[in-house]
Amino acid sequence: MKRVWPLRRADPPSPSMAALATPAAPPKGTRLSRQLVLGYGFALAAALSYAGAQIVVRHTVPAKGPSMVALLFSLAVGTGVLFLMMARESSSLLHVSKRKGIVFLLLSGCFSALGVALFYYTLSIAPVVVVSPLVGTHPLFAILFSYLFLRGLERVTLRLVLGALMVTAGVAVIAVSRLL
Amino acid sequence: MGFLLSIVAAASWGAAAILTRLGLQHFSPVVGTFVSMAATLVIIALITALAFRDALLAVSLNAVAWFALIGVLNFPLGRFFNFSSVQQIGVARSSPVLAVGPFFAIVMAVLFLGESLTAPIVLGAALILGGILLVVTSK
Repeated sequence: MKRVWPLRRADPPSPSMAALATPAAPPKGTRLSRQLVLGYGFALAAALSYAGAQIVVRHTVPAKGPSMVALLFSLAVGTGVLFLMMARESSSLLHVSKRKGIVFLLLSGCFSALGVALFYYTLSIAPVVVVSPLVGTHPLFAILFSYLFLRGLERVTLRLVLGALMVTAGVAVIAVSRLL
Repeated sequence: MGFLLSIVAAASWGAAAILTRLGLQHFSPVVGTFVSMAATLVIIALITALAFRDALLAVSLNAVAWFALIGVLNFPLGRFFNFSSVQQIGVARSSPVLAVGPFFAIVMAVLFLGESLTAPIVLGAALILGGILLVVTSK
């Protein structure tokens, strides 16, 4: 059964928004729902894409220019491709009721940029072996912020936190072992 | 200083994930990815133009082609799937799974680039897989 988040009062309900709304809490029971399978599948696909990009970066960027320049060109190409992908839906950006959503997404992009810029800057002043595991703690921050700011929308369990800690530790072990 | 900035970078990505979650209540992942990337692009363009102007002007066409490949893997694929995942299962569940990129990178490096498996890599992989199992089975 697909469950949807309650729409907030500031946003007048509309069929399109209801269709886009996301689940309030994970479905009960041990069987994975279709939504969970899709969600984890997308996350794994994203991780795989990022890994593929990392491999290409490792074998090209150091010889071809500074990381920030590589990032700028890759962002420009990526944004261009996404513009083509979303052409049909671009009119949704003009809905007045969705302004708040645009602000959140623009801020999300700004924080992403801040993270990347700081990451590259930090790499220039501190050893990678220190920077890489520390930056790899970002899922823990996501869970912490989720617990603090999305209480009505997401459920943070002890098991989830333990899982995230283990993943972060594993990523740190791999990162450090490859650098030493 | 490096320690502090690394933590701020991690916290920034954590904050970005939360804002993405809120923004995706209003838009589909493809539109959300585009809007967020447009903001990232503007900021990175400004920083690069100010700090790396010479390198920016000296980039070869061959390099641009490689950067384009990285861009396609990272953004229309990586970030779009990332946003789709956040919309389906939320930030708290998707973030740990998204973080397994280095695990896949290792698998690819071992399979395709001939890198060797070491004890720490096996340990790290076991931790990651155990962590993912905990996250996926979390109710």
